[in-house]
Amino acid sequence: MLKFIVRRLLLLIPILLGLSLLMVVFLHMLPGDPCGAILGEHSTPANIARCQHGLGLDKPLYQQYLDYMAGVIHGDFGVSATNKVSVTTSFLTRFPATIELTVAAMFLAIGIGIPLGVAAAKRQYSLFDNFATVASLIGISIPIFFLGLLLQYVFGVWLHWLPTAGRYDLGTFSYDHAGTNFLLWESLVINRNPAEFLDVVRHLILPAVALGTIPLAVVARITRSAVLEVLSEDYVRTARAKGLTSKRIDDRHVLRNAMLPISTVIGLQTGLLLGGAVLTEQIFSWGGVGNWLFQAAVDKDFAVIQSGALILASIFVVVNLIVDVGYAYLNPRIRYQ
Amino acid sequence: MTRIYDASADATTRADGGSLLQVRDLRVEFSSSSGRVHAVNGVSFDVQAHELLGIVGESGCGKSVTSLAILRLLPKPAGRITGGTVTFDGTDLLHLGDEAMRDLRGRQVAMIFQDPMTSLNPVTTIGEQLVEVVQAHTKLRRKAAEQRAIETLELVGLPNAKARLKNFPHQFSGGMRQRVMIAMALIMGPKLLIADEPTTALDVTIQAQILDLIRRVAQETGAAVMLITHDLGVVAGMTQRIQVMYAGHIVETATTDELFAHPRHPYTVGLLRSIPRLDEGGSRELLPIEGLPPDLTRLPAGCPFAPRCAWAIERCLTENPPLGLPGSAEPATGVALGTHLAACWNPATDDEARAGVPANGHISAVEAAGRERAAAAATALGVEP
Repeated sequence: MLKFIVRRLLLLIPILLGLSLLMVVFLHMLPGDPCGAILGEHSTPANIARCQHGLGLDKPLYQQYLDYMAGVIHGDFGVSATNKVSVTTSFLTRFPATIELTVAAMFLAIGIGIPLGVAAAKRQYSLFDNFATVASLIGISIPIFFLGLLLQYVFGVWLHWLPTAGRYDLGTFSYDHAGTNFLLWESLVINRNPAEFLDVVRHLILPAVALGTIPLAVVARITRSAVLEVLSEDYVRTARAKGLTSKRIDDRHVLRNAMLPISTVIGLQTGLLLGGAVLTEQIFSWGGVGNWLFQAAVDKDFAVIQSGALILASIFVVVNLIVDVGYAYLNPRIRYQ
Repeated sequence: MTRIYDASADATTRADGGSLLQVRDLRVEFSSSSGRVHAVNGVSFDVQAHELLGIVGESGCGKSVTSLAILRLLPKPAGRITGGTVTFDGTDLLHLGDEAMRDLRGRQVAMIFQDPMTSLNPVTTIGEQLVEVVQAHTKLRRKAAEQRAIETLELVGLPNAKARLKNFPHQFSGGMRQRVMIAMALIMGPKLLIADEPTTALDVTIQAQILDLIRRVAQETGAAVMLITHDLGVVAGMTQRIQVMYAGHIVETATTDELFAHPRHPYTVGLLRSIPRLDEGGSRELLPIEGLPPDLTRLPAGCPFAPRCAWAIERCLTENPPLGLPGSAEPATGVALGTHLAACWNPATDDEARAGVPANGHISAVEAAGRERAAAAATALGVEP
């Protein structure tokens, strides 16, 4: 097992090398560079040349790439061209926001999606099953920007139930930027302030619903089909013939086996969400990595885009590795060599 | 042979029967996209305590469905019991409460299925799968339940039972997996063991071992066995009685010796002629049964076997024969269990059974009707037939 993990981690090296090359080539194929964004539309060619020289953009492309990779190997992911903050620092302050949002969204997706899928499978073709099928199809098809705006309008503007932007109430609370930036943790455990915690939770609800809807629908669909498949397996008939209670059959025999495909889907979805939910973070002014990368793309901030992509790719690979290891635990027939 | 067999479900059966299991006029239907499938069409039989009964027939003849219906394990919502009664040890199983039925499964009546690979849960240890049976039916603690699991595994001849509790099904060979299945069925000491094709998925070399094992453990635990198979060879050396099923009907029943020596129903004759026998010399030809079993969504009006039967007469095409004494047109009532019964208007004689074909160039009614139609068509077209 350990060998398997090490081998998978070593596989990261070619992945990251390839990805960094692609990123450099693609970024320089696009028109414009950070200097255009920094200096604005009234810049003179002389200004731009000076700015490019300052950022090292006047060197040949291969030289830029080698310089960049030399930094990466030493753990230096570069500095943002627009605000001069190191990429590592920005990432570390923003990633906790994305993690909180992802965890909340997946919590919804798993907590509602699995019971919904199981219930639908056990009443196949019933009214409830058809309703769940239609609902999840809508959930999968609805565009996030539309759902996000709809949620903001209904629950924020119209009903005044929930805040529509940001991670906490800026007027009432403040957070130490040197902290972990996990606001749920900070408010409840460090500050021990229930009112503050409630405020953070309230801010989290709408973006989590917007982001969690697609994974919820996907998890519900996959759960339904996985449970249906397992229900017709011989070993479920055996379990019934043994006189087990239906609860025991559901938990031990049906769900335990259905969890194999479900866990794969959950892992993939989590990996995707951790990569930053650009639309959701943008709509809800959520200071996560999606929002950050979006701004970097607008500003043509090469170092941020490149390093951000590398870091997110690594996280995606690691999340998938965790899923594979978990899969081996769930499925004893698989032992990774 | 003092027990009374009665094909009709009346109150007297219970009083003088006292069989462990009584099935009367059981009917099962499945709904499918192509219509209602009449899988079991009025099946009546008894199983006595400590008896080994064989149920034989091709795939799709209703033998597995019958056993699943007894335990109310038909796939829902497609499968439905549409008539008849099932009485086990004096209890009406078709009207038993769900919880009582659950407790009866595995404790009083246990089942062994065909494929031990797919019938065991692949993601839990066999120890867990054995222990959970004990815990579903008793209040025994885990340690005690595990002890019982070890003892039962030793009973079915699994070496190193204690260590193997922690193993998963895929870590066993096919034969060992079936031993585990048998242990799972026997762990509560059931009165009736239903073995549905227990050796079909196994290597030929293992088959005999598993059959021996079933016979031995049934003897040791006192369980009655209903052995379901498509292979007459499997039941030959094992069972006291055999029932032959075709298209959801029992078409012939007798003691094992009697059935092999004097088969009466042409279908049984066909089954016997299609298995090789060493005791009749090398000259004997194997005769396959021509054709396919009938479409169970549209059963023919007469005997369901008539279209494939060389013995068929006119009556076979219009009237389904009842299960009675061979040659009698009346359904058998009040005869001793083990009496030779067949559902046939024109049963085979011993000579015909040995030859595998009807005597004196008998032309089956089906073939005759076919020839007649051909002749009529030829006349109509004005050509020489």
